Amino acid sequence: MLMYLQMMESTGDQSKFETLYLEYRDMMYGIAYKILRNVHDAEDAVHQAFITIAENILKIDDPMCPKTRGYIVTIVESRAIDIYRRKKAHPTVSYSDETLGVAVEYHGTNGLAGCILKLPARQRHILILKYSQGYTLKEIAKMLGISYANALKLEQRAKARLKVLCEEAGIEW
Amino acid sequence: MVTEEMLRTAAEEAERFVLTTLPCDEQHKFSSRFERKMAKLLRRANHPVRYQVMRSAAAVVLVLLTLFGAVRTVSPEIGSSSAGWFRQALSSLIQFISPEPVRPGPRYVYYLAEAPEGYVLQDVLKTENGKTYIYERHSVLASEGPMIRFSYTYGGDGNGLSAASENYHISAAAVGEYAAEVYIAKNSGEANMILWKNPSEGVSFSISAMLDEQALIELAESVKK
Repeated sequence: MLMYLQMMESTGDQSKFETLYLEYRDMMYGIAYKILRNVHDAEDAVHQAFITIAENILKIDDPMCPKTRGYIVTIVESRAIDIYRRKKAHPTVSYSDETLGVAVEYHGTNGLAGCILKLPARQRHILILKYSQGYTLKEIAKMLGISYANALKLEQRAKARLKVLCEEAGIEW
Repeated sequence: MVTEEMLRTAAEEAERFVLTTLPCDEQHKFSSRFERKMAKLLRRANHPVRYQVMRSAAAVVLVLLTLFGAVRTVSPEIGSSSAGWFRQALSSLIQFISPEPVRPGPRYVYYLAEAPEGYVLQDVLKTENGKTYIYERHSVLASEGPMIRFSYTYGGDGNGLSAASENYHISAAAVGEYAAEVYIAKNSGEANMILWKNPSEGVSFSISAMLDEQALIELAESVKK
């Protein structure tokens, strides 16, 4: 934690973090609650997401741009799924796998995008963070709280599953 | 054939589409617990140097604690000196030591029900009449300082814990059914403390951590026997 605090030494980075917090916290809560269906857990997911955001604050340019918004959505969704998985290992309430991640029904024209949106949330995250947000696998591993080796495997599994989905949709891989 | 460029375009389109399906930004009334944690995160974001100093100080305290535990183990005379509580300040911690003889009776082992989030149990120091558990910050998910210490010791006549300290704001509190005192450091870079006793068993407890009063009480109430 001290490493990212030291990275946020400039006044600009500090106010950027506060701007992100004030602008996105309600949206983040809504996403986390959709997955976790528990107020306490959803707030924990938001808090943990902000810790990750603070660690990567230098990579965020404009707090208000769609790219930043997309990044924040991915991070809070990922944190919510982490909590969901921990709870599932020691269940106290029942959760449904079908509510995992933000459910998206694609109505656009890009078939490959439609297939990406059909991936399980964690696999979708890694492809979006890498190909849309432009992060390296090493950076993504750190953001998702996994090892580099696991991030690599996750990307490979994501692409393997994407290939199957593409073939089912008639897209040549 | 799907190329990297096609993946890039598709991933951007997918991300853009996810944003269109987000739930409306309904205002949520966050709990006081969340607001407290975020206030600390924002505060740390604005004062990075202070927390670097705190980490160094905590490392010094750990060394002192280890030494102190060793001294107590080999010096029973400390436990039977003059009547009343006496206090020895160790950097940012206050160690309360009962000089009264230990009562005969059953001895129980006390522990925290679970390690505080983001911390792992680093060490357990056994003293003559109790134990000290040292938890170190393990992951960035921990929102508080670098160390949490929980101690208990058998001894004392239950006459009270408090002692004046110019470095702390002291307030009365309760841990379950037991009276307690909370010591909030005047220097925000130092650990706070909560002390309480179970008079019927003659056992005294303390937790020191960079937590606020409410969080200290919650942690104290999680102690199991």
